[in-house]
Amino acid sequence: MEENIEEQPSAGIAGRVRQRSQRKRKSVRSPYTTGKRKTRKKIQKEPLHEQKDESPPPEEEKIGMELVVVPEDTQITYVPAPKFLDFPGRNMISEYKCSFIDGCLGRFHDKNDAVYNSGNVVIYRSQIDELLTAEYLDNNHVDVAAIILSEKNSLAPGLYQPFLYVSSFHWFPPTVIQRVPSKYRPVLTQYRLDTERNITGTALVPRESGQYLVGTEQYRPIPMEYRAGYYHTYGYETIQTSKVLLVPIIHNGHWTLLSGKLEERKWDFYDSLPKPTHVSICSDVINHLYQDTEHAFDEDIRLWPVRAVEGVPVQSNSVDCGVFVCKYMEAAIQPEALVWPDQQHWAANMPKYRAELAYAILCATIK
Amino acid sequence: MSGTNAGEEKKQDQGGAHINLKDGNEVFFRIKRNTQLKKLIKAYCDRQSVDLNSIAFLFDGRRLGAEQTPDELEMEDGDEIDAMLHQTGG
Repeated sequence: MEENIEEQPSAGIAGRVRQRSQRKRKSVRSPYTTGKRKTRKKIQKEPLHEQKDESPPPEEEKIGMELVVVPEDTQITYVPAPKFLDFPGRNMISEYKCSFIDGCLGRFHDKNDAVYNSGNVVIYRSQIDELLTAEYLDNNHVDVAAIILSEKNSLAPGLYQPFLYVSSFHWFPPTVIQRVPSKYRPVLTQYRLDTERNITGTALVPRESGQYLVGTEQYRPIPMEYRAGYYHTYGYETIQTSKVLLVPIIHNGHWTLLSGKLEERKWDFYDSLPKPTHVSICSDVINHLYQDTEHAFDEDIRLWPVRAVEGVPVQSNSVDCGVFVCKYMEAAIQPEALVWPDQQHWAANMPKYRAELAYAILCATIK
Repeated sequence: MSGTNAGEEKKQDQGGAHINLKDGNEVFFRIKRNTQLKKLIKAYCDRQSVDLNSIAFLFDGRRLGAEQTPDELEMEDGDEIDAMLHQTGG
């Protein structure tokens, strides 16, 4: 009988109610109801930390033990890419360009074929496919678009205003760049420049060792060499001769463009999905840029007003913002400001712009 | 330059080099000095199950060429490579 009585509460209504209340107690996490529990947890955590601090050698060993021996006979698998790609922009570009793209796609038929390689920017065949079809663009695409703009400008001086491009790789959040190894610190202060690309600029800001890495918490810089691969001259003199600063921003999977007008002392912000929250990232980026380029500007760029450019063409889907940023970059460096109401056809022409950018990349490759 | 070696020195077989690959977690790789680094890259990407083309590998701030070898890059035992995922956006 006694056993039955003990079992009954868990099986009967009273037991279920009791269980439910227990379940509730578990799920409620307000600081008022589970205050005791929280403190209990803290007590549990602290000794764990202490233990770790006391015995770092085993932890190091653990990491050190994770040794991967790369066998010499590792085969790099061939990943075939379609030799013919029916990209949407096919009918929007000239027949010559189209057949040129087709020819190149036939030639680079491995997805891992490096189609374009300049400094630290590499475009693989798979990225050409992404560009041609309606897919997201990554930082390599936007970087190469800027390189092409600068090459156009050097071939035909005066086509665009002199500009300075700051790659978005510069701003990658620490989730991607976990930390810059300590051995980079002296390199960062030297600002070694990539001689292969004939970069003639002077060092930007000599800084004290390690100071560079402090920066803002949100973004951390990466070694200058990465940027030097496609920076023009990046120094005081260049900034003096530049009129526009192009700073593409990728934040939460959305591309926007921050453009500094050096003569007018203001920031323009181009957003193809206009939202006030997108603008808010600008102050962080400008602050960081200021810290990074401390003496390169005559004045405090943080004080310049940031204005979202109104009336710009906006995207009609959820994948084209990278291409929009490329187009905004071109627009921002035009010698004469574009009349935005005349440019509303952009969204419809995105496949064309994608195909043209791919064509320009492939042209640069063949050269 | 790469002379300032911050990585942990380890005894190694002759001809092998420990490469310390960082993506927030440290992973040690052992590779022969004359083996192309794409094999290391492949091994890393397979481990992390990520696409080969979605990561940039930086050594001394320069992006690694797949055909380069540790010898060409004058890598030393315990040198570090940074792995950085490309950011995409739409």
